Amino acid sequence: MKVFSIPYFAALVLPVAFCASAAPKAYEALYSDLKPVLDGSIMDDAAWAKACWSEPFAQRMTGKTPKSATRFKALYTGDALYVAAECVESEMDKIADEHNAIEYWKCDVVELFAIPHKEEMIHLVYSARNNANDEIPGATAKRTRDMIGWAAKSRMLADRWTVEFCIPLNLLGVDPSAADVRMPFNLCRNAAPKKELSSWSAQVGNGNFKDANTYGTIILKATPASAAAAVKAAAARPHAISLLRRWQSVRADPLWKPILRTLPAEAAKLDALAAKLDLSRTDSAAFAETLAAVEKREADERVTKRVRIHRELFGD
Amino acid sequence: MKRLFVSAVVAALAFGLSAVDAPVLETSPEPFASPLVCNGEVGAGKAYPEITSALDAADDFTISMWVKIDRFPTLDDKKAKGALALFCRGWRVRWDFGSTLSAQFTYKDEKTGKDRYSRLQTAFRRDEIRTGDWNHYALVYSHSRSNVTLYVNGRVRDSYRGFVARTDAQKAPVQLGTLPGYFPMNGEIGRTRIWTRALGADELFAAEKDAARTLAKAFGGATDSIADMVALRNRCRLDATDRELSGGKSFYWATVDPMANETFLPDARLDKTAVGRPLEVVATPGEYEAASFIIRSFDDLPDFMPVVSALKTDGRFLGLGRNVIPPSAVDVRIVKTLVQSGGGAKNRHIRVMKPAVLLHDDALVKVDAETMDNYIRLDFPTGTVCQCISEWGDKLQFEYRISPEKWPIHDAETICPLDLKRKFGQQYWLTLKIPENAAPGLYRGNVALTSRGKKFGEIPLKLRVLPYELPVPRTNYDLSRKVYPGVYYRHYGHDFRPDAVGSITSRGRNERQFRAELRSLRSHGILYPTIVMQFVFPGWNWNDFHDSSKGGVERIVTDEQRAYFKRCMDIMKEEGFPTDQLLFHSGGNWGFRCSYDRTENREVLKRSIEASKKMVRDIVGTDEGLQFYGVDEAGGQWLLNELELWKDARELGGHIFTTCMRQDIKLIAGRIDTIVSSGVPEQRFSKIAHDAGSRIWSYANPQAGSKAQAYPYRCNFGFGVYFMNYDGFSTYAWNVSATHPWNDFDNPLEPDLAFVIGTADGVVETPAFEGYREAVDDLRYATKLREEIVKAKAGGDARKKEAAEAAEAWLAALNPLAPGFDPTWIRLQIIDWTLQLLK
Repeated sequence: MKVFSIPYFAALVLPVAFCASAAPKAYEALYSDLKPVLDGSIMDDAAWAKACWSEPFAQRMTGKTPKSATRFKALYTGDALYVAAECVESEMDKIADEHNAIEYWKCDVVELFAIPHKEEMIHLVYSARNNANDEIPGATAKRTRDMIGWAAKSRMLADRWTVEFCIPLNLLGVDPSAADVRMPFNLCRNAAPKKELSSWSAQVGNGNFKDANTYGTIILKATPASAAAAVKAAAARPHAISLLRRWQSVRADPLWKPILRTLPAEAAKLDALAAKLDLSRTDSAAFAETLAAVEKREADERVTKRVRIHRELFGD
Repeated sequence: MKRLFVSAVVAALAFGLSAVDAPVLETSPEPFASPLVCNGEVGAGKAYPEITSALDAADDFTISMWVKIDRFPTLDDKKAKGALALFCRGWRVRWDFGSTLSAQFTYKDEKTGKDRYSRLQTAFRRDEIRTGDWNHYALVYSHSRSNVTLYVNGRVRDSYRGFVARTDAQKAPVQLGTLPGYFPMNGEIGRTRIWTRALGADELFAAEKDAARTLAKAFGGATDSIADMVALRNRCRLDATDRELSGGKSFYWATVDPMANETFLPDARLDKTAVGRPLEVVATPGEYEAASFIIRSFDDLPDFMPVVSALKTDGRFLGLGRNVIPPSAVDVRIVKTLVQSGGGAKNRHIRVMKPAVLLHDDALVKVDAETMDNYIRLDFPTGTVCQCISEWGDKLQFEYRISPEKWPIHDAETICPLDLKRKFGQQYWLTLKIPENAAPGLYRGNVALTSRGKKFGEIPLKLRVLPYELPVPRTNYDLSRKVYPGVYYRHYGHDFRPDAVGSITSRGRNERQFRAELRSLRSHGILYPTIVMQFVFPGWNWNDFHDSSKGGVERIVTDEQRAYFKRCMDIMKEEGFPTDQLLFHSGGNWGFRCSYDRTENREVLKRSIEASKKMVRDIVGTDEGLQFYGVDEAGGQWLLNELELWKDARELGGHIFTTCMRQDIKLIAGRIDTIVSSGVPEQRFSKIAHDAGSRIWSYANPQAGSKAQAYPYRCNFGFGVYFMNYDGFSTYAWNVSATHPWNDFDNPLEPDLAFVIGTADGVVETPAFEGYREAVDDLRYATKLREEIVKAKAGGDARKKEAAEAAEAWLAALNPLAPGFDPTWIRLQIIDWTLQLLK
């Protein structure tokens, strides 16, 4: 694992004004046979041992060293990109209470930004108290056919809190099996006790985490040949996490109830499969097929209904 | 300085008659011959030391160049190759293309001796051009005006004031195609010319027309315009699509959903499935409903005009006029594309085209696409003049009176013909007003497409009139409670004298204009606009924000003021506005704002409330439903300071409404009568408000001002309010005008946050305001379904009961915040359920 930024000679010769947004950073995430256990723990997990830490975060606006240090690691496996962040906090007793999951920006959170494709800024938020939030663009939902699940877990320690993200390759829509994959990326933190915002790729003078011009790059180094086929296949199909999220949203959506009533066997099968779904895998073919059948029924009925209403109103 | 000129002058400029002096640098006499070829390697490019001294001595300059980019840098490229340099003098004075076209000029501050720099980060993005195409860029700097303007293909793409662009900071030679050891160009730089003065748009145009001709010839057209050249190039790309869509005809039309989350510029690519489809409208008697189409022709169409026929039912004779809807029931307007600001005060230097207003007469506003300026037609008794209405300005004059005698802006009352240019996709907006007595059924008619009075095509128009009328909107959670559709309506210092000339702003309108405004509001279902009470009467002469020693005088309402206010209210009543809720803009807590002291001021407050209520009782007969405004958007200590006053006011019989942030709902619920909350409505907020006995309305989701967009206003203030159990909505504002209401660029505060723009006769409306109307109607449709559900559940028909329960469950499952929520489709399903229950 190699971590580097790109200062080159430019940083030496150019004044601050010129490179006000600082030299773009890059982080190389290597393929790993070992999958991290998604429990918020970094130090105890052998999968993370070989991954290098990123450079420390910088305070937003000033670029100075923050009071609450943060760094991250990343790797990818046969199904997902994993990112782990360590958030040092000297006042763990002042970690923000979370009464309102929507206003995440008031909480102790790590925000992950990745732009795997044009018009697809994926924004994932996870808090010290294990609350999740995200902004998944419509284009991503369309590309993945609503398979937009991801997972994370955090853990609070005595002087820091840590978080692990699992982001399916299928959600990102990238395939590093044959060549390096690069995408604009940043990891940002809100440390509520000190009211401090910081980020990996510095955002000096910029007030917006979402300003992609300030992002660095995450590089998923090409998969070793021995694992390439598995990665290629995994990138092409939805992760179990996404399948489960989609099924849970369908299950909970009252508008789907009439559809599910017409497909009781499929619904029961999906419930049963969901109960024992291995969330660390992507090869959930039976689950995916059954879910696709349910979704097709809904789509067909929607079209039929539109046609019927149109005919009744306009006679053709 | 205002620019005034008549059409003839515009024409003269358009044909490039301006003479241009010789530049200090001209890299080639031919625009594309002998270009500077840059291979993307550091060190490529060429220096021109011979012009250094001339440029050093100049205050102003213009750089004009033709550029063909072969490849943009990617993330794989090293930082030193991260942008494409066009022009530089060292790396601290440069013009380059990174993710956007931008310029940076570092200079020595003469006072401090320190380096300072100006940066123009334009909105012109790399994805707006194709690699391999020639494009023309020009950067024009005027030191005396501290203004830099970026032209792309002869059109202003950005202009920035407060920019210092001295080029002599480093004494480095002019270099094209690279910085020293940095940012190499990858492509070709054609003829580059530098002048030591700021050229105007017309001069740039004249200087480059030979290049335009060259390119036009290459593309098989004939034009002198740089922009036309680009259009020609685009035409070549669009031609194949257009030919396919037209099916061999010389024109085609596409029907589009006017409420969709998509706006259409004249060169928009149209969905194949929308081409050739009939216009289809579903509405109830008495309702207004919109439809829209876009027409594009391969030939110029002089005096083009769509003409709507009568709409007739197929059925039997239903009584006088009941089965025919006359053409006059269909108001046809063009969706006029104007030059508007990029959005917000921060981005007002960005000029973009937006289909922003609905006009009957296309000629009311002329758009100069070369300079990105709007010109409005002023109809003086002595003749017609075109006045520039997109000039840059830093003077804020909030709601000042502008006389229609100086600005005689009149839109026509019905649709006028226009000269439709070939390939120009013109959108038309039809508003059908279904007669109250229209019989239910399917009506058919058409929109004839005519040029010079001769019909060359027609669009079928189908209208389904539903067999029921829409009720007033009621809340989702309780059918006995009304929803209040409102808006912040500005009206100050009107002049009701019979001979008053009025104003084109929200201040100083005459009676005719005031009534026209009220009719526009009412026809859009906005029955509860805020009512301005000349701001501070009766009440306390408010304390200065920063100096509590100022103010502190009890205001006494004069007879003149009382008469004025009575006239306002009488006119509103005559125009059909209800008086069950009167939302008074009363100077923020009767003028006490945040300085209320119970011991000292309670008696004054009591007198103010009593005087207010008496005045209203005298005028409208009752003071029930009368509400007074708190402090606008107060938060923190400002908000806390109000609580004591609100408590006293409510004990004394007053009712309060005001705006707040969502996070303060919990604090003020139960202490105020109507919370007008900003942000996205959610059920948890309405629950807090209702549990504490307050009502909650939505606003600023968003504010008015996005004139081209109907969708957010329809969706957010319609079902977005309804399903979150809110009691009303009132966004800001209907007609506010910061400086000139037609100018988006003339003040540092904001482009006008308005749904309409004032004219000498009344207002012109916008797609956004039409979206607001649909929001109201969505609430009415939902209310009708709820009413039918209640009836069916109470009735004896088992089939209907079952359908009612299914409909109720379906309604309960809807979530307007869900991705892909489509209010048009939801309304159609509501209609479907309602018809099932009415069978």
